[in-house]
Amino acid sequence: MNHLVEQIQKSIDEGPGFERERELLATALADIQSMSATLTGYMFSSQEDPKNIYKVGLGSVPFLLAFGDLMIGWLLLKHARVAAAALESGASDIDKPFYEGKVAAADFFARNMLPKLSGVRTQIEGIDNDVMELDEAAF
Amino acid sequence: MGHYKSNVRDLEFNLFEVLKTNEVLETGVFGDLDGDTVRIMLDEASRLAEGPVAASWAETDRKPPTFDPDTHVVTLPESLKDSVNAWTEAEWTKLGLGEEVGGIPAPSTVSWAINEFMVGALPAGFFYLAGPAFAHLLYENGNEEQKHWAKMAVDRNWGATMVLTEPDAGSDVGAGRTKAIEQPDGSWHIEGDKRFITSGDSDDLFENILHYVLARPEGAGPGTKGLSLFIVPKFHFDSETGESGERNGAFVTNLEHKMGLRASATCDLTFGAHGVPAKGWLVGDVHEGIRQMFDVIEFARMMVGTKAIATLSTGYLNALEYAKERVQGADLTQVMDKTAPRVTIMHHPDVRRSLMTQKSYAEGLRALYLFTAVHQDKTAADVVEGVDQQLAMRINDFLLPIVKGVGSERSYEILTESPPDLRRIRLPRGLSDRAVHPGREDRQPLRRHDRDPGPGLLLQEDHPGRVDGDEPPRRTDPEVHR
Repeated sequence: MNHLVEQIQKSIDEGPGFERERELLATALADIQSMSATLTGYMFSSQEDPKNIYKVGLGSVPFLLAFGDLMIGWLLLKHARVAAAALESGASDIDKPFYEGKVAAADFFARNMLPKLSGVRTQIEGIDNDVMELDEAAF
Repeated sequence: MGHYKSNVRDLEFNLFEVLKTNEVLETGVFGDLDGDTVRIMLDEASRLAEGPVAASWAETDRKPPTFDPDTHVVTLPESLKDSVNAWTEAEWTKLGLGEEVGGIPAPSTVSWAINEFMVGALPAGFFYLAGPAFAHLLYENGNEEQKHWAKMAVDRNWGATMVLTEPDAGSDVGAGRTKAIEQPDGSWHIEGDKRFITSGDSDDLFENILHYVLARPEGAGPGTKGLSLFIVPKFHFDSETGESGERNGAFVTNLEHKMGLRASATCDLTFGAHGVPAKGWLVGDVHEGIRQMFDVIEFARMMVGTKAIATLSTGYLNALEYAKERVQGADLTQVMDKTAPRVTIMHHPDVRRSLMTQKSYAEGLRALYLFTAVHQDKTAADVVEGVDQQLAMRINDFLLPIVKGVGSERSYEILTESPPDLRRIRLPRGLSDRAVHPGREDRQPLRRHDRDPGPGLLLQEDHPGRVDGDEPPRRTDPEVHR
């Protein structure tokens, strides 16, 4: 994961252009790193109390989906850069809309999906074992 | 035009404009495969997928495979077999496999791009055709004799299955109880019941099937570490020529009744319980079952993820086409004016939001699986990402569950998106759900045992322009919900 984080950071730092997307990606990356640290913390704390491992289990799928969104946001940004460069160097009439769509998709994803990761971060920070202790009958 | 829409432009964009495929090919590691040839391949394979392969889609869902418990034979509809054979004849199944096993060398990115067409057009078909890919893995792990079997399996286009799961051993693979009893001649007798085996039998598609079976040798320890991998053929075969002989003791004993992906025969497979021993051979003569099987599992993860992504993509492209044609309602800016002109639903904000969500995920997930594929070739990993093979393998291991898990979950979620809460978001009355919810149009459940996308899709609960005396909107529209 560290390698990927480095690559994502490089894309965030690479300017000029796509400032808004890069900022949103930076926040998303910070959110993911924070979630990862929180989950790792739960894992280590299970050495004192084995039941803390449940917290990792409770956070896994939300984290997986969030990480997927980070990867997608990053890759779409890379695509958008390539597309923008192609548009700038003069794309054919057939290709122009394709490239414009690439830029639009990256922008849309960054602004509509990446901000949700902050919510997932809060969710993961708030994990406790209440739902594990709940009587089965209450489900 | 069939159900399946490919996206060759986006694949070319990924391969040539982002992932430096020309440079990778210029290293010469993949023979004389060049960029132009890859473009031709993408063109040909996409047409084949959109045409003969996709043609059996609806029929094989409505008239799924049948099973005869007396003969243990699964029968497939003729149209399904035609579709599968069309792909086989074009030899796409050999793409990306090593020359040593009879394959056609290609970067993993290129072979998965081509695979995307098949898993999008007829996923069950791709599952039946896993034989060559598994044989490649047998070659990597097998002893000398097994390497020869692997070559025959590719050359003679045998089928293959991955056999891990039991009634009590699913996610907990290590709980498996199927046992392996060593024989004086070095072979093993396998005894046990396996469940949910994809392509357990496949009518007369293949001369033979190799079952790749995880079983526990007598005396071996518990858990996954105690499992070994065995090749258990459907028919005994001549070790030199590959010609089939006597039936071996592996029989399909049940066919699942499924809600989706019905064209794929999901079977119970029983070993050594029908008066004939199920003879198997230990792969590579070593007891490292789970490690060896992981090569197969990795292929399966990539396949399931790519399949889900391909499905989302074709669902989106179908929805997009429909949205550009379907006229319904007035533009939202004019919705209070009863005489306002009707517009295509592409004009409506929620349709745009939905389509752009589909587009960004479809293209983002495609980027993800191809980025993962880069790390599956030493050469590509070096040229494209500047990473060595060790790191590339670890990145691949890390990304595969994301391709598979996020690919499946997001694709399913987006294809079956519920209509918005319309007390807050207004849509013109009677908007067909087909454009906004391509799952209805395309009806492609993503997992074998999924619920159908459901009968009771709600239409609008409220809509602007409604005045007293108007009839309330219907909660379901039978015309729309098949």
